Amino acid sequence: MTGVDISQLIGRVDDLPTLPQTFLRITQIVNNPRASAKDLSSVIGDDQVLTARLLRLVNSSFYGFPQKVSTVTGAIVLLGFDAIRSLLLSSSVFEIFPGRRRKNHKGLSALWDHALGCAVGAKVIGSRLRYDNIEELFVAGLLHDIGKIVEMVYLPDAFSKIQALVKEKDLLILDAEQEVLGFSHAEVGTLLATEWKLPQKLVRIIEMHHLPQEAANFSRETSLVHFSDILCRALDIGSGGDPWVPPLNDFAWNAVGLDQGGLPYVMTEMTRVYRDMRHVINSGR
Amino acid sequence: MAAELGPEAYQDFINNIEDFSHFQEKAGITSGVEHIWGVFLKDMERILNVDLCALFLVNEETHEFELYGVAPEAMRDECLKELDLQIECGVFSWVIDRRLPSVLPSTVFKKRTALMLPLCTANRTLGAVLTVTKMEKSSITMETSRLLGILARQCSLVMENAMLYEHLRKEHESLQKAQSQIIQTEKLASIGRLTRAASHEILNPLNIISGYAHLLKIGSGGDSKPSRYLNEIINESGRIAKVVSGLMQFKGSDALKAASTDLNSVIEKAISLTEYAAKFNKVRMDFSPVPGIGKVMGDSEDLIQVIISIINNSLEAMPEGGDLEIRIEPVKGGGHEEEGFVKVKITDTGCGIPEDVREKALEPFFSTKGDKAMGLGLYMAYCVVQRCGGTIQIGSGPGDKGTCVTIMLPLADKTG
Repeated sequence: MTGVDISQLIGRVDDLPTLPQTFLRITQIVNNPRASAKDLSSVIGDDQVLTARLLRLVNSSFYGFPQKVSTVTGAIVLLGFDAIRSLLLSSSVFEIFPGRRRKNHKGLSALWDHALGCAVGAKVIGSRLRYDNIEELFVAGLLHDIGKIVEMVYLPDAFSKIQALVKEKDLLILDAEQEVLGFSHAEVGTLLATEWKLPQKLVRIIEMHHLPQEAANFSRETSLVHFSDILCRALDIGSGGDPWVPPLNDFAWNAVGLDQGGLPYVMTEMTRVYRDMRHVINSGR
Repeated sequence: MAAELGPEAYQDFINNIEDFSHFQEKAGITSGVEHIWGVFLKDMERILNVDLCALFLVNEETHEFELYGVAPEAMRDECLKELDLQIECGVFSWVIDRRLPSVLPSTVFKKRTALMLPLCTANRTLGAVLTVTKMEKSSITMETSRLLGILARQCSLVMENAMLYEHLRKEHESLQKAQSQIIQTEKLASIGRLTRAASHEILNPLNIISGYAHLLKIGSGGDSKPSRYLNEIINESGRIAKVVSGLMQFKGSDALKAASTDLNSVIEKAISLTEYAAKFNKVRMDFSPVPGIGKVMGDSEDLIQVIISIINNSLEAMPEGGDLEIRIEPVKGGGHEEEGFVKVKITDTGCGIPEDVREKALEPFFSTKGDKAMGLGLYMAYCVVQRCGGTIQIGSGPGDKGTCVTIMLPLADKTG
């Protein structure tokens, strides 16, 4: 133990990044069944940056919609309210963490790439399995390792130690975290997600993404993210902080239930969409 | 900005969802698509005001979306145009692929909104509903969009179940039909075997009976009473012999005379033999020979008898006159089983045969004509055709009127 514990982190919660006010307003609206597309679009429309980012996402290969969607209202009614919220959350989290632009922060950038890869993977697998709410899977993939990003930005010394330990003892990052911090990035991520008042499902996925069999109601979604996480490492998309491909959880593989021809398809499609999305996300900066 | 909501709004939302969950009670597994569509339209009206609502179903063979129904019917053309345009720009397939309701500007109706609801279940895309509404798309609420999704899902489930049920029912029906045909064939075959054996056993003692009766008659001479009795015995024995040898005639010899016969001339002969009776009944007979139809397996005399007895039945069914049509046509590509056959269809405009009688019509001694007939005509026809390796079927004529007898006969030059 190096004098850092999770309560210390909780103590610094006020310093933790917050989601933009707009997003909170949007959540409020989406939770109201009587809210109209107009209500939602007026809130999004107030934020020029958010509007631009949303439209860029909607018109990207993420959806492959054959025509150009040029208005926020159009995007809302075309995709549905839930989808829009997930998309907005996705584009917001990229913005709120500092350091992504710092050139020397190579590790952080790789972590974000890994997050995006996992998000894309979850979405691609979800589409293949005809899952209804693929936007939610995308956000879940994006946020699953948010705890690592918090550690890296807010506990940089501890995180360096963790990384050194990973190299030195050939440990998985999860085990190194336990040794150095006494808690894991899953716990940190859960803390942040709760603080952000994210939907229960997202919180559970972040908390259980290494133990999908214990995610109860959300075990299928959690398994899917777990599987996508491992695929990303296998495909070498970004870096999860250690060079290892953690073992694929048997339970997760069964819960996902991907068909025979599914895996090659998912891997090809993942690489293609990831490239495109990376461009879309980065061009907005 | 929407006003803050009290619990009532959520209550309303939940009530609506609950109502939609009753879809399966309103349209069960045995309801046809039409009924389900009716229930859907009613539920749809509760969600929003629609100008047009159209159901497209996927054709299982061509995999194309086909228009099933439009409400109101007058908008049919516009509706098809709207779909065509949405398909053309690729939007339609995108929506179907995404499997969630989507709202788009209408291409045909300016300033209106088009709503597309894909109807799909976990494994199958059943179709889609296209709706056009005057409602401004920005005023569509979260509630509306969710309810549409729930309604579409409920409808898809019920529709898939109904379709599966219908499919199963048809399959079951055709199996049942095949089964009853097998039973019928088996029945007739066993009757045939029985008569073959029985007639032999009857004719021998009968010969002895009538022989002694003749001897007695010669001995008794004159016009005495016993002699009259003996005459009765001889006459009645003769009748028994006629009935039994009638059966024997068609008992079906095991060795088929491998003759090939020209079907055109068989039918022409049969017509010429029944022409007089037809004229008498004011029945117009219509047959034109088909050149190059090929020869069929079977004895020409037997086949002429077959056609005559069917014609006779038809004539009797048309005491007030009518039309009798005989058609022959080669069977092409109707499945492997029917390849190399010629079909003879004899259709009349008579009183027809009720469904329950049709089954028994081929049985021996079955007759609806009372004492006038022995009921062997069609049984004989059946035996002859069966012996040729063909089939005979009795159905109703066009428009469920009259009778249509279909005989399938194998071509003589049929290979294999």
